[in-house]
Amino acid sequence: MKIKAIGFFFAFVVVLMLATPVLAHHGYAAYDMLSTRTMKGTVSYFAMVNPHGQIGIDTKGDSGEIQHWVMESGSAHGLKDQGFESDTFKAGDEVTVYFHPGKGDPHVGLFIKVVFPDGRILPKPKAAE
Amino acid sequence: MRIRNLFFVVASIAALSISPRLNSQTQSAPAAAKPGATAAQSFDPHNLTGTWIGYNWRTDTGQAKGPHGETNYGTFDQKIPEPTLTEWGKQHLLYKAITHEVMAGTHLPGWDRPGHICPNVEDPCFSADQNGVPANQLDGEYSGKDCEPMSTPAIYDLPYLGQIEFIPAPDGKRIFQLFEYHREWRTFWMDREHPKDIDPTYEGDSTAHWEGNDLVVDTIGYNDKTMLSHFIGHSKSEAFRLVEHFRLLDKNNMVIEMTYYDPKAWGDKSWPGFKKFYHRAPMENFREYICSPRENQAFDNVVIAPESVAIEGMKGK
Repeated sequence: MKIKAIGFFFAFVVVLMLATPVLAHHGYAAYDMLSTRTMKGTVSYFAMVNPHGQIGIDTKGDSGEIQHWVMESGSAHGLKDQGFESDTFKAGDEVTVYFHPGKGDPHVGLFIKVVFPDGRILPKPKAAE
Repeated sequence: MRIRNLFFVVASIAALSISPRLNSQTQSAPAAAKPGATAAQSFDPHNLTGTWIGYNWRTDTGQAKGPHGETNYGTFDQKIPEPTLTEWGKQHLLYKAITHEVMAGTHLPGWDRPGHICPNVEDPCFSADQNGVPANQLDGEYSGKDCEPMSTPAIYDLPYLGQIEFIPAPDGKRIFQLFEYHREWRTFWMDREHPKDIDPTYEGDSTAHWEGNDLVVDTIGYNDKTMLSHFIGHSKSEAFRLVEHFRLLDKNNMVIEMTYYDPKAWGDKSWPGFKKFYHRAPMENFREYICSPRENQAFDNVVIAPESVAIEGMKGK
């Protein structure tokens, strides 16, 4: 029992360790890493692929026009470690996303986390010690 | 009586020496005890078998440091400067630009503001490396770009991005090293020389032997098609040589110490001092990581090309 508990704790700690943008594949040159923005919108698609996933988010601009945003995420296996599944997002889901804005294309962002209407947050916040 | 006692002692010693050892890294001499695995140690220092993940540098990830303070900050933990590139290296190995931060070079304005740590993965310090290769460029080169092989040592740059696993072959003549990230693998040939004629390959030819508690792996025969590192603006030449020392710090922690050699790039200078810290990780987390060129291209279209192209490429997939 003790060994099982230790093993579970170790696995839990490893998951926590990986609960971070496992990005760095091509670097952060495309994004303003010193800025964090929030946006509410509607999911248009979710691609859980390697080397980076994508989350399509539609939102209304200041003039009421529909803006099509794309959030870059970590790799598929990194997302899985963070608690995502291929059906975590469905087209039509209303979500709030936190992201680092893109430097070039105005409608691209580096995904940080998502908050669902029921209060769920992914990646899961680090557990309090 | 004395002869019978002597016979008993000799027989006992012989029996003890051929008792099988568990978890032996090689099976060529199962009757012999491995050097270094004394009764006082609680683990077999030659047992690298299993899955490992690198420590992260981020403090918000939970176990950022190991029990002895082990951590990895990309390849920026390397404090020994790179040897000067030869003229041949400058002409043949440099990239036009790279996407990542560099270890040294031309500083960006404001790099030395209070609290700004350099080099810095997320908040760059350099505009170009020491050979003038532009850094932090969106359309620059990076290890594994377009799903190309990463190879060593670049695949060790970010050891927390994917697990590695060591699998000894039953015949004891080889150890396989698997990389979860990018799904690459290498063969360590135990106790044999490099072939005289080697065709250059992405992973090179690796020979290995034990020096005390260090598994020493010597690799030559690389082709010149891969980056030395995400954070350095040039590739390896075909003369590149990598020497790795794999060593267990305790039952669950390992360090890989590396020295780079490249006579075409650095002449007779070596580049020592690379260290990567790993700890054991659940095997269930060793997953498929396949870089699909089509999916990768669709992603590149998102970041670099107009958004309408990107959405059409990915929507509905």
